[in-house]
Amino acid sequence: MEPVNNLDGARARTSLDANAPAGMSSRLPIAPPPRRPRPSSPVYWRVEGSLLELTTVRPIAFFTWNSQTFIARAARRSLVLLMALLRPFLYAANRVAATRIVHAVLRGITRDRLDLLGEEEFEYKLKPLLKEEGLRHLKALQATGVDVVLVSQGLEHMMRPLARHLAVRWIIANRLDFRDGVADGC
Amino acid sequence: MSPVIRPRGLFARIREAGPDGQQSPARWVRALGLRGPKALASAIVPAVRVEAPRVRPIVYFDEKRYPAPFSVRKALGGKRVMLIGVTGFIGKVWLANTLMDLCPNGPKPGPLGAPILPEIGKLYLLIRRQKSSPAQTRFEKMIEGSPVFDPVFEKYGDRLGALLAEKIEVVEGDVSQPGLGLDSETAARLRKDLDLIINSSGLTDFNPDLRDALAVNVDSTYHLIEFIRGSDHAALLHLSTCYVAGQRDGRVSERVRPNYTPTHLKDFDAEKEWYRLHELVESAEARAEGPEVAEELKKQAFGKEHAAKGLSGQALENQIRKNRVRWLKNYLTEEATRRAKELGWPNTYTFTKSLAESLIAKHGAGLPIAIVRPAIVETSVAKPFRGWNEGINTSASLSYLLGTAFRQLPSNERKRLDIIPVDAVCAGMTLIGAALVERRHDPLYQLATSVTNPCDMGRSIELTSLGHRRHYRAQEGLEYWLRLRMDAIPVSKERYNRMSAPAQKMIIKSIQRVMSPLPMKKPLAKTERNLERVEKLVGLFEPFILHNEHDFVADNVEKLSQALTPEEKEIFGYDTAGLDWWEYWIDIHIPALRRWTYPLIEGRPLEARTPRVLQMPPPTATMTENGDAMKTGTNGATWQYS
Repeated sequence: MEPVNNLDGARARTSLDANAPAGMSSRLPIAPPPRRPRPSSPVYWRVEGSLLELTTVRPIAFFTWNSQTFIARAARRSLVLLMALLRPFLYAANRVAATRIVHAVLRGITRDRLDLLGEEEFEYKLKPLLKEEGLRHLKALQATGVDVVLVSQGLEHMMRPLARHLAVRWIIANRLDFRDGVADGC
Repeated sequence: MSPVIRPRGLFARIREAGPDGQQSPARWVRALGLRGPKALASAIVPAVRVEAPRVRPIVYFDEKRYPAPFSVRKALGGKRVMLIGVTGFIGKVWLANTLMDLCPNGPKPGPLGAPILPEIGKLYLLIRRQKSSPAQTRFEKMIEGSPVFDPVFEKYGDRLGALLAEKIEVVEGDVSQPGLGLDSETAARLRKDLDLIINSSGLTDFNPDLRDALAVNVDSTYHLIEFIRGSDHAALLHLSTCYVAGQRDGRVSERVRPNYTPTHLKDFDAEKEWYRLHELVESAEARAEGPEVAEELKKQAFGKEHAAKGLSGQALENQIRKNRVRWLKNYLTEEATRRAKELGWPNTYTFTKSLAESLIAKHGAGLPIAIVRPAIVETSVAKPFRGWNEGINTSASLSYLLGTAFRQLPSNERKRLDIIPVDAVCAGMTLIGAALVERRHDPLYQLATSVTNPCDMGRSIELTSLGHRRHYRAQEGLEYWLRLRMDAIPVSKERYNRMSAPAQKMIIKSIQRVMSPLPMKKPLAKTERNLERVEKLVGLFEPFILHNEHDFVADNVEKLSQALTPEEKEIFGYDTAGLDWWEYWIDIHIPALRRWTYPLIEGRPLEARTPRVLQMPPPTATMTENGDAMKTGTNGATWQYS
């Protein structure tokens, strides 16, 4: 007996609903991925300056110093050192490219690790440095009911805990690409 | 990934140093070099960790092309269900979850919340008597003492006793005995009344005494089949394990294979093997009493550094008797392990569970029986509460090890470690139980994640280390600071042998040998013992972490879940694809192990709890349907493990 893939049938039914067997709903057995909701008219809030003084290299250095293996830590530390030396020149040439190059050091680190280290970096290093005045302004803005979007040059792995802490639902931050859960450095 | 948020310029640090961080969209569009506000809006992401949705097609074959809608409420409404193995991890959670889902106020939502299983008839719990502790006392102590019932107490408060008295009947018996160890009257009543038996009992020790493994994992299954055969309409849900697949690689389908061996041994007869193992037990028992072993034991007793050294007369006899018991236990344990490995199973547990499945395939043909194979059952995600675990289970000792200075775990990075939360298993069991009652079940269900939501060994090891890291980061002291920097890594067996516990043990042994002439105690004896334990532990788990790349298909339970009516899908649906392993491992599983299991490994008591008392109504004789009073009881036999 030949196996029948009902997936094809189910797909067909969406356009030919009338042909669906009695009692069958026209719902797809495979639900389409949910659309990502976004705030309608948000207020964009720059993190750097108002809430934190965030540098680009220091968090990256923290991530690399906590790689999984000793060899990876040593190799990445060397690269970060090199970045620190080259950074002024790279930024002078092209800030976008320079940022990408700094992030390339994270190639090979898993998303799981970056998420945990991001939490750690925020909890133990950034949280105590949050600016009181900026926090007050942000709270006042949130109290008006607007959707706030935090914008930061930091990686999203650090910005998510910050946003959670501030009860902000949306962020725009630097993101890495991952392949099978591993950063590809882009 | 675009847009790249570049650092602010030198002057911006001066210009934008104020507390107000608001900036207009137009400014951001310019600053980020975007095409317009739409591009900016599309760069917004939620400030939560989002796992890419896993979508797997469910393929129905021919006759089951359009399964009829399925209702658990309808199927289990008014039904009488017997649970065997309620004192075990899964059994307790299933009971707690079912009690949470019951509503004593009838079908209408009452003050206790919406009714989920309002019309369930009765739950029978088969519990063995333990020495002087009757089944009822054991049950009450379990309800009072186990944290798994905390939400149940919270929900029902003082009314819990009345609810239990109304909905639950504790039956004293022993599933490893013929007729389940029930007296004839109770057995007859249950045969007539029961709609479903859930057998979650099992001896899960990897290499136990063969006598125990046979009694609990195989004999009991046969007795249950016979009980079902004699029942009016009862169905059986039998809990097995995915790892009956044994030492082999590849996809493991949901198909019962009678007389299965992983080595594909021709002419293997599981029933004959079962008899042969019983004969082995009998011959070993006879041999233990024989002169040859007696002489050996006597020699041992007089041997150096033995407990019986210097004993004589009755004391010596007693010591020899104790040694005989130990000898027999060790002999049967070793023989069972040897036979299991010979046939292709990694241990006695999986071997005996597979024999039980073969017995079901042979003797249970035509009977309403479903075999349910969970993979490695671990911490709950939500029910009865987030982060419940109990006892030293499969991954606990390994994950504990990875939180110590031990770094190099021999494992196959790409092998999938198939872990499933206990509440997902219980949800699956309820679904399958309902399907059995409606006779729309499949013969076999696997409850596993290796296909639906795979998490490989490499990731599992890293997540375990990260889970430990989070804890250590919150502690103070040099030890924690060091542990924070000791991430575990997966390595090959060769590297493990060369650089980890075995090599370290050799070094320690050499040091001990060099120092042995010195008039002092062996300074590294404890370290040597610890390394031996590590080696043994790793060896025990190798089949699960290094060898045998299993992918357990778990389609049948998903098909059942898909067939649920929309409103019931929310309540009874089975979903493992939506699990975020990061959250599970770091936020739930490792903290749960740290709370409920690691103290046991370290020999510490669990956290202190306020004692609570279950107010049960005064005991009354069980009434039969025609109003006659009858005793529930046992023939005095006991159930050793669950």
